[in-house]
Amino acid sequence: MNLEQTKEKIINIKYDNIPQLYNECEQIFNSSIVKQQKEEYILITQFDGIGDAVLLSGVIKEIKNWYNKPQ
Amino acid sequence: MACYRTVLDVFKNNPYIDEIITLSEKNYLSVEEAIKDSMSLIYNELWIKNKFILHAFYLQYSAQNQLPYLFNYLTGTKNRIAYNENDYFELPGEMSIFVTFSVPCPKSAIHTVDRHYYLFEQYIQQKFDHNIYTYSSIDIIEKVKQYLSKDKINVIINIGGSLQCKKYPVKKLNKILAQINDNLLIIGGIKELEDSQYITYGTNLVNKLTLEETIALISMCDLYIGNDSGMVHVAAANKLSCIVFYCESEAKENVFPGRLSAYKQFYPWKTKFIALRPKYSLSPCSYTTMVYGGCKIHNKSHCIRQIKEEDVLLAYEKINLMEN
Repeated sequence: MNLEQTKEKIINIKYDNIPQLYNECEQIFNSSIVKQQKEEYILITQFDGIGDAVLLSGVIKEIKNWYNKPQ
Repeated sequence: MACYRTVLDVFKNNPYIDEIITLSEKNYLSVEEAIKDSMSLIYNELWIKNKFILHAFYLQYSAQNQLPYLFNYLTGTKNRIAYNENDYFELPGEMSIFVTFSVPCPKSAIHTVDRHYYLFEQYIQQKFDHNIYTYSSIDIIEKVKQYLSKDKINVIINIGGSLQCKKYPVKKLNKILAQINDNLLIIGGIKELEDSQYITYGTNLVNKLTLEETIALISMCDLYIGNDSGMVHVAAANKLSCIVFYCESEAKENVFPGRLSAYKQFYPWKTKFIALRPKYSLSPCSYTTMVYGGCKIHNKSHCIRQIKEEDVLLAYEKINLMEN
């Protein structure tokens, strides 16, 4: 399954509860090329307000430094 | 970095962030709607640009916000790091199904900064000094310099706040400002426009600055006086001394502090500050079930109005004498 098909499949999942949503998504991902790609980025997610964003600033610096170090 | 568009200005000058993708802030009425918006962003900004994630962090300790758990999972990321959301009350957290690494948040880690760091420290098994920062561009700094005084103490007066109950009454604040002979810079957002008419001292910058400009201006000031909002953290990050009004009474702060005390989770980090709080909550907040932040009359200045003008002026005199 290519990237666009994966997106469309996920958007159109039918489910009744969260564990079922997870299982449906897992099946889609398992047959998708998403899982075959080279993963090299770091994502930090913060869907909240200004204060929380400021309070995250210090650890963002440490995450970046950690990732930049030779592993 | 994935965030709401409304906080983009906080992150945009951060040299440790290479790219920011944003969602519009909204209260999703269904998981389906959240999936649709998330997938659209992930597909357009990550997948088709050949960007695939190795580690996805959601470091906030929150029981309410399910979107980051889902979003990180939908990116297809192998390593998804987040708190198991309900550790404090030891209830099953259904969003934990989307997480591959989680640790319980210890009761000793109450402040939000400590919590953010704790999860990352556990993940990589390394300790750090816990700090916060803000970043501004030179252009914006030059632009807001016009508001600063070279002779007087530059004081940010923040009349903004996410809820009315977190706002100190502006008429009382105006009486206090009448007695402070410094360069007073009044800030707030569009919601504070009406309130700002009652402030007759200082320079009224309410709804006149962008968030980016506000951050730059605060970073160059000496003192913060105002409500408990995101701006107090900007001030703390820049080591301003802070005098902060809280609606949460002292009597409430130890009722499930890690869950319900806004003060204990969000006091100004690593800077000199005086917290002005009512000793006790007003009725009905005083005797009914404790809510987050202590005061449950959200649509007006309620418990917070007990803070006396003379106590604010006393704090103003005292703060410069305090050691860091």
